[in-house]
Amino acid sequence: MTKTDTQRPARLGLPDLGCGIGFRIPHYAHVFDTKPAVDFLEIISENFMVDGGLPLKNLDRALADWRVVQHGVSLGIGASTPLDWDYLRRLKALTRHTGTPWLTDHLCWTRVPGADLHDLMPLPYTEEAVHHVAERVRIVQDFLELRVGLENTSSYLTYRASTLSEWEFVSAIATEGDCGILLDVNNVYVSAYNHGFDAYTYLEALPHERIVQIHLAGHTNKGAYILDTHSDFVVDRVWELYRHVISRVGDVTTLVEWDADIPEFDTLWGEAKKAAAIRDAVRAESHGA
Amino acid sequence: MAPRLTLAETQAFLGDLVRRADSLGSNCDTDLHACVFAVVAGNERLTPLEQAEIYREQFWLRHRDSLEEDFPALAQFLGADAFQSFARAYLAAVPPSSWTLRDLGLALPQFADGHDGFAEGSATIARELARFDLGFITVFDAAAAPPVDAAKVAAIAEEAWAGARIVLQPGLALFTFKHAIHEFRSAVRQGEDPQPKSIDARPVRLALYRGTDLRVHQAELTVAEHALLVALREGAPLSAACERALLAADNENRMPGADSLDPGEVEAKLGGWFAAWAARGWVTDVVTSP
Repeated sequence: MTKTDTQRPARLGLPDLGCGIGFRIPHYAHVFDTKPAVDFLEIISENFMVDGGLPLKNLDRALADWRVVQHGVSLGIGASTPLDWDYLRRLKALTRHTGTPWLTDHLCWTRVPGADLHDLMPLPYTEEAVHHVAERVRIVQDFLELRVGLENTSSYLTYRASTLSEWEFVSAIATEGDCGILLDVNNVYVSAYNHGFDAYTYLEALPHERIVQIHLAGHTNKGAYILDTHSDFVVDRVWELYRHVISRVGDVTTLVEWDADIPEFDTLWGEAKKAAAIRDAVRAESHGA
Repeated sequence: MAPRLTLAETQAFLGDLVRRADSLGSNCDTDLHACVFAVVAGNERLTPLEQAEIYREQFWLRHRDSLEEDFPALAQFLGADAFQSFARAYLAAVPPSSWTLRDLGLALPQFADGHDGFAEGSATIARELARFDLGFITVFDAAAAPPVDAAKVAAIAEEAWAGARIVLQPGLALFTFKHAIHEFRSAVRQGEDPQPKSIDARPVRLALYRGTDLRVHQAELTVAEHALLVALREGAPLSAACERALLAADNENRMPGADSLDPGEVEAKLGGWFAAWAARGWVTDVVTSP
């Protein structure tokens, strides 16, 4: 008998690793020299899917002192092209090397026949796309022998063909594909702004027990739309959304991304500490209630 | 009412759209506009064309920036506008096809060889820079074999060396250029602003290799040493490789204005070269005939 979603354990039974940061080149020297007590590091898988050299050396140094979680950008789970088995074999080898407790990538498509766009292209929110992605994520999870968490992306266009809301779409894929959700709270905020929906409605509607990790990041407001640039501090409204999620979901592994105009390490770590403080506060409130 | 597209058709349409060279707003193709409006919804702030344009613009920015990062010397040599034009031409002719941006420029030197849009007199240097810049990318994360076992080398009988095959590190890259472009590239990487006219029209033989610090280093080679390494890379036994190196040195001596090279240079220097190669990790094995 299959468990219903409401009977599933929080985070699909995966551990809460605390609050971590993205492992980025400008911080390598500082991280290796000072060994900060950051809870975990998240790597971009593709940066380490190489044959040798400095990237793998740096990865091994990180693995020696921190839990490392893998996050990818090239899985292309929503693409209509066949799954790339060469990519998946390399990815699986890396997951075995890092011991990542789960693997995340984006709920999007990245390639068409003959070209890889290297972008997180949004999917139309249709039943066809739900079934397509759900089938592929099941295959990928079976192959990797790992739980996969799919991240809601920031998007800048919507399709006339969509028949579902974004939260219905994400929820349906997670349930049908029996996969996790990497909830990017900033992306919810960005897409809510870009497409005019209520972010809290989105957050309430998700199957909370499937949220295995959370991402936080800064963005750039272009006026007519917000661009997900990972180039600044997390804005207050995103922190408010994060607090809301934690109050509903409980402690979930949280990662702060900063990929452009990267600041000093301590600035980034300060954002992770801020997330940890919110988790602590919410936990204290719930215990006091 | 237009028929609803399948998921695959939707992606194919958008994949073509974002790779269009010109902005969608400046495009006057009313059929195209109608197709975009049939697929993309738009909203109160952005029309369907403007929404799609965000992705089109990002496609070109992302890939151009990636190429600029991977080909810093070529970008400096051509200048911003010319490099942008070249990058666009390359991306149009060779769409990104790998899941990793690391591979984006793999075909760029080949494309540059056939590109006729370089400014007059600059094509040769541009093509050499393209090959050299790419070398840094491929050497940086190439597979590496362990260095040769010193004890194994010491145990090789003297008479076995002539037929020995010296196996070189797969990540070792060897180049022959008509210009001293490595000096130009070094200046670029050091944050200087070298001018194209500063490139010396001096033939050079170069090696790129990954040092023990795992960073990519360059070394200028003599004609004979380069020829010897090329021969060894091709699998020639040591004696045959030395003959090719001697021939190369001799041919160089015949070139007008060439520095005088001692034909005995190869034999005299072989021991020193081998020691230096081994120290740099270039030699991974020495295979002798049974």
